[in-house]
Amino acid sequence: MAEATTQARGGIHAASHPPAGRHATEPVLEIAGLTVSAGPVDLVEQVSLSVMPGETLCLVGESGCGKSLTCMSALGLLDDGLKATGSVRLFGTETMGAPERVINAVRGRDVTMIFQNPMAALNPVKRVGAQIAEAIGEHTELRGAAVDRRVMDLLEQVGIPKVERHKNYYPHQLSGGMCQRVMIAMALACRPKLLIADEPTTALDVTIQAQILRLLRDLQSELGLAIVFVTHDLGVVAEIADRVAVMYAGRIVEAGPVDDLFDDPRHPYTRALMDCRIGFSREPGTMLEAVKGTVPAPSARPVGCNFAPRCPTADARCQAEPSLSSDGARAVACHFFDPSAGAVRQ
Amino acid sequence: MIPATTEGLVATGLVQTYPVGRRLFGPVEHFRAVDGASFHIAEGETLGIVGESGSGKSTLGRMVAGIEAPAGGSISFWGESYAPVGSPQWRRQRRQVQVVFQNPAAVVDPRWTIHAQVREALTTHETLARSEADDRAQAMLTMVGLATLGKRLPHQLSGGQLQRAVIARALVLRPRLVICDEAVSALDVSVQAQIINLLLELREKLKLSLMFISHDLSVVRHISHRVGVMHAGKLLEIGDSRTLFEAPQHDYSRRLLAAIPADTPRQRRERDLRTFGALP
Repeated sequence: MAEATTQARGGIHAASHPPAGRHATEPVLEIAGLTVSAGPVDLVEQVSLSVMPGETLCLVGESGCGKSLTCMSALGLLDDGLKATGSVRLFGTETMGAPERVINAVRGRDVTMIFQNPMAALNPVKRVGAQIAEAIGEHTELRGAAVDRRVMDLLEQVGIPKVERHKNYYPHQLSGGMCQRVMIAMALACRPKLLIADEPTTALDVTIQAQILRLLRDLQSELGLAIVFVTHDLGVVAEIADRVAVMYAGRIVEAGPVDDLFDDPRHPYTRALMDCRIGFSREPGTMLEAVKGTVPAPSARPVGCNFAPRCPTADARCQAEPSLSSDGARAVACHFFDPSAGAVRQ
Repeated sequence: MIPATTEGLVATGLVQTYPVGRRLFGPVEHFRAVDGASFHIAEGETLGIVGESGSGKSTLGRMVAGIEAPAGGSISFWGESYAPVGSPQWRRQRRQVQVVFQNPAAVVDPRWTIHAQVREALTTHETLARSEADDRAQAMLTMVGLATLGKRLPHQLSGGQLQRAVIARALVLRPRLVICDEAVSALDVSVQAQIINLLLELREKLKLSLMFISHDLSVVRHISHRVGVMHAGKLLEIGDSRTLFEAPQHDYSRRLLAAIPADTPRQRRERDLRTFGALP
């Protein structure tokens, strides 16, 4: 996977997102062999991925596939009682097992996170402007009037109108979309190099979602920001991703450039996800190609390939766990994937 | 003009208001959640209602379901008007129109088996021999694909299975109209497709009329014969599903449809090229 992603960087962002910063060739985030377990149960198994400066990696999957846990592990924010093993490198520094001060040095400044429910992440009894100011005071040298100016700039940047007035509002006085903008402003307060966004638009109306996605894309090209974007919505993936990693039941089952995945999904689960999309090209009222069954609970995952019980093509080989193998552009964890036969798209 | 018919539901000028407080010495002020909505749903037809949060689509659904009496306007349900909420006649009418909500876990009793809950819906409205009620509940569970899971408790089912159970409980009464209020919105995409297929199949088999309320425009387009767009309490336009999505008449509908994510990254780039003239 590590090799796969390094090579997969090829066309797309060389063309559309020139890497910013001094360490242009070094991933801002590199996760290798990450396993998260709760007691004897593995929730996330052997996840490896990397994100380059200026690129957007979408983590896609249904509930319980481990996408959020992967993000939380990347920031060292796992709940007590969960145990992570493997390697997480932020800006080249190993943070797994490192003392708290190592990750504190970058968390909130170089790498920040936004969540699905902005109302829950904001302090309800503090004016939104003051909350952003607090983040700035915590992580930068700015003080006094300079902080105020920065707060106003940020709120303007994320498209909040009448900043002078709205910065004095409490979260409950703003709509969900506005609160998410405030969260993004706060996340950008210290000019981070990596933004982890966990379903940031799932709770929002489509018109607000479209605005937030556009905002993130604009900010990305302006600031050279790398984004890890967690979503279950393939439409959102089509809107924002450069590369995609599809997760199923705790594992990455397929990863590659976004166009390749949409044009020619290789893993049966990716194909199933693509097939049950309800796009506008579909004839209304027709039966959807629904994959049978549901995602297994972490404690009830099958032996071998996790998707085998739901897979239309599974056979005896699927009793053994498939490893993620790469044909250069694409990595797929399926016994039916032949990396040597797959044509590499340019 | 809305056809005068006894086959189906006709809503005329529906209004719902909620009090939002009062000024000092002033009159109580009202918020108009639904502001004059007129539409009809023919027998066997699915009417989709789309709109953003706060547009009034759920309020509209509750009035059509007879859960809330409208503050204005009228509903004709297969030629009958709704009886006052709580009256004996209202109870009889209630079984003709059923509702399926977003979160199935919130509307089932955690201590009762799935089969018992479907049976109870039936025995609440009909006096039946135990064995007949059992049989009809079991037949309904089979129809929604839960033939072998009737003995389970709600927590032993997945979200998709639980939504199937809720659909079984609604349909066992053989309603004429089912209101689905975000009925598939909380489900994982692969499960969502299963439930949509189930609804398509059952509405055909049972000649159901559906009112399908959702913020998800693609799902509404797929399942509805006609679609109405709601905004700020008003039903802006209603049209044949295909026509409405291809050529929306109202400005707001156009904006709403334009906000739907692209199907593929290629479509997204083509759209951006059209909209902005250059790639970002």
